[in-house]
Amino acid sequence: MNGALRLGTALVLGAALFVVGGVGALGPRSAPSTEPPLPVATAETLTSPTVRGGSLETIIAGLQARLRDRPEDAGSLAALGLAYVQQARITADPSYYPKAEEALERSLALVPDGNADALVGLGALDLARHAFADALTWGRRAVAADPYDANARGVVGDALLELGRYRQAFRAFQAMVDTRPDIASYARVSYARELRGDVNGAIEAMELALSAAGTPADAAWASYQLGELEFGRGDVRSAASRYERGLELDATYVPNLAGLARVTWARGDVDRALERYRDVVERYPSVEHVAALGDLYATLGRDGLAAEQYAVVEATRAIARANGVNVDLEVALFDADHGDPVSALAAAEAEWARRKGVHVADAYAWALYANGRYDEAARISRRALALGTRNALFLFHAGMIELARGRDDAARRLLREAIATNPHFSILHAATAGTALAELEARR
Amino acid sequence: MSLRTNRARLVVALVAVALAAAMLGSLGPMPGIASSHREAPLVAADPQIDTTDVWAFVSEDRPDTVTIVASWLPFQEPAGGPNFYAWAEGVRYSIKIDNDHDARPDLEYRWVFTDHRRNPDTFLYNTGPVTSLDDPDLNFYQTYDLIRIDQDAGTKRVLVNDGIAAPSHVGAASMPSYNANLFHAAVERFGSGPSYTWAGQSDDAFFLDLRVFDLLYGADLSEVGDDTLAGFNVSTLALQVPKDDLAFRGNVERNPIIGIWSTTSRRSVRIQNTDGSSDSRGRFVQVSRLGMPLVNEVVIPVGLKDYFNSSKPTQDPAALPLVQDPELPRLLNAVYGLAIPDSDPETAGIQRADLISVFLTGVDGLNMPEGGTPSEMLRLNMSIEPCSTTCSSLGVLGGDLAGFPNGRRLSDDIVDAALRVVLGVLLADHEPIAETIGDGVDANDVPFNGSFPYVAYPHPGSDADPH
Repeated sequence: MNGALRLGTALVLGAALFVVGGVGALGPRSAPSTEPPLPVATAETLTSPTVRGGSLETIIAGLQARLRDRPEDAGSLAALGLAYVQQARITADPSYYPKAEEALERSLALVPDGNADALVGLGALDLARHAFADALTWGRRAVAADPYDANARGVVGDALLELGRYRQAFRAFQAMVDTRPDIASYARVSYARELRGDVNGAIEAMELALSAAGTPADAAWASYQLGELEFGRGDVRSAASRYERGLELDATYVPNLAGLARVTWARGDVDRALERYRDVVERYPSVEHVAALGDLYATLGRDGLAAEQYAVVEATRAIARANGVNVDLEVALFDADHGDPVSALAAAEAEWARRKGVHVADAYAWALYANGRYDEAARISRRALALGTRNALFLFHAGMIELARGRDDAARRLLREAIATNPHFSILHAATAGTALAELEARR
Repeated sequence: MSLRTNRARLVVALVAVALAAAMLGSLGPMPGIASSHREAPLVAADPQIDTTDVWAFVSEDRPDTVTIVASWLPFQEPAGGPNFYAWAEGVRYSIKIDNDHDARPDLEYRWVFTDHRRNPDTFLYNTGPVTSLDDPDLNFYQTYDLIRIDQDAGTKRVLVNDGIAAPSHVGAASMPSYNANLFHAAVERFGSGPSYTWAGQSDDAFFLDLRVFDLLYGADLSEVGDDTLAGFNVSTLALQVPKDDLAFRGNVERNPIIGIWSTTSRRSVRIQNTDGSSDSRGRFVQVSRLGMPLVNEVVIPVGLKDYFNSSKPTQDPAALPLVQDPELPRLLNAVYGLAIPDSDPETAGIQRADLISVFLTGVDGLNMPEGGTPSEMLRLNMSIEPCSTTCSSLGVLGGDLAGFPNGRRLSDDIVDAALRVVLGVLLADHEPIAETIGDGVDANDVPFNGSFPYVAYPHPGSDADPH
């Protein structure tokens, strides 16, 4: 019976049928109600442009209600699991991950064969928790379950990429977009191009992603990514336009506010930048934004306020760990920058043992630098730059490492390139880069 | 309420339950699941390429022509903000015709849209009241080219260049007299037929009650009968051409039957070209396919939905076993003890020659061409005139040969007709319920137009209570 329900050759009466209404009042024959009936989420409900603000909560509530009545509905369980993964991201609350795991595992237990949706969900969950080797396993199983499912390819590609297996990752992304061009696959083409240093191509692909966005939230996301790409190559004005457009599309998508906060800082309006960052952190206390606010306080000499933010970073990371998220990469970078080189190196080494991608290489190199091991740092930082990524922070790290080794020419070249790429590459380090370069120029 | 009626309602409810499970099981897109370091969406929403329905019928008011209508982007909330109810630029929205029954497209009508913004510095849809399609106050608008590809002749002809799509109905104040000024004004005439095409927003022409499965658990089915799709808009393309333009060798008398389906295709891209450069001009990938309104669900199991969307009718003979023994009757048998329909009880296993007829080959004596390759598409026998005295929204099941499954008209009650077909009403031996089952919704929420493009006007954004 469950199998029958799962395969559900039920009459979905035209693709239009996919969505349950649930929005708006009941039809004329019913008594008017003050509240729309709780929608039972269907595939299209989850995608419908009519579903706005707070919709994920509604969907989750609908799925939970449905599962109370039909606890063995594998499809609903898979949907719920994915929804929880998404909820964790939106709220920056990792306590949704164990819930996601439970729902997805139950779905898979009910339907162990051919359950591509649960397998994709488990892959997405492990990606979110930074368990990339496990994510790859799930992704491969998902592809085997449904070779036509582009999302399964996406999981495989994301996992391979984070594991530093770039050639294979790019192949998976190519398979993904060749299976189904849409915002998800175009976005990955964009990221692949960005990693390879093709920033123009990355922007072009992300514009395709934007044009394929099916909801305001997704469009706001794509606009934000375009803003990041523009900011990353030093074009503050274009970045600002993208973030503003993102807010027009969806005012609740906070990263665009964070982008504008950083733009404000880059333009030198520190007070306004502080206001904006405080607003961002209040709405969405992700580690990235909290750390940025802390760094901004630190550069202004307001160490007490900086320390408060850094304490939140520590606490957030503890909660993440408690919910199964591996944060070693983030810890390595943060601790290297904030006075705990021992912890930084331990975390970096642990992550380097797991995977050798460019981001891990960069963090490892910086952690080695923070521990005075400059020659090793240089060797590792070369690996961070091996793809040709136009990343000003990577270049800055490499430049400082060469400076510490006494290699002035190399240092000058790298620091110059960092600043030429993006003079506003880091709240904490931008000034340092400028000063170091100026000294090198004077020394010459 | 008689037992039979109760049972009918329960069965509909159960169908809806299974339906919901199927839909969830198919788990299409979700609002951008972040998955990687870069948090790129995974399982993303893509309503712009989501085909909802295809209709094909001999035009009642011009019976020497055929009208084909197709819709995309369901569940447009009238007041939901028109920025997201646009056609996807650069995507190929196509109607394909197989007129020699080898499951390959012989003709393709293809619409491709281009975005325009009169003032590129604003993303506003309109900057003042809009009273015509070229009103400068309509800031965002879309044009399209309609191309006809003739595979047999190897030709490609632009039928309409820069046609204007009717905009979303923002509201009565922004778009006064929308129906005349913008909806009807968007009809494009071409060719010597004359022929017509139209692109725009319309009321969702499909009608059914999806709430039954909610109500099943409340054990209160008395409220079945509301059109769940009422008050929502969709994006619609319509085409009206002389029958001869579609028939094999242009000869309707000899070759009156055509197969019709819709495909939607979007460009892939290469991460990197062989010379190291990159661009945005990869090959087109089919991302949606739709012909008969129910085959994706009656025939194709949920786990094959992605496969089906990318597949071609020439691949359909492989689906024969799926059509032969669908799940739904087994479901109903398990729960309600209803006999599983079987067109050939003498042979081992379940046979459904009736479903194969309806979905894959056409019905003998109605719309089945001789020697055709079994393949899933709408099949229209163009020699059958529009109904006059025998009209029935149940189509062929109601004695009206001009209706479903001979093509599909806007007014055909697909849910009732298809439920009954799946439950075996075309077979001599079937459960009584196969003759009465229905969802209680027999007509669309708003009236259709009597002339091209026939679809109903969209609900305006200013409507306070469209549902």
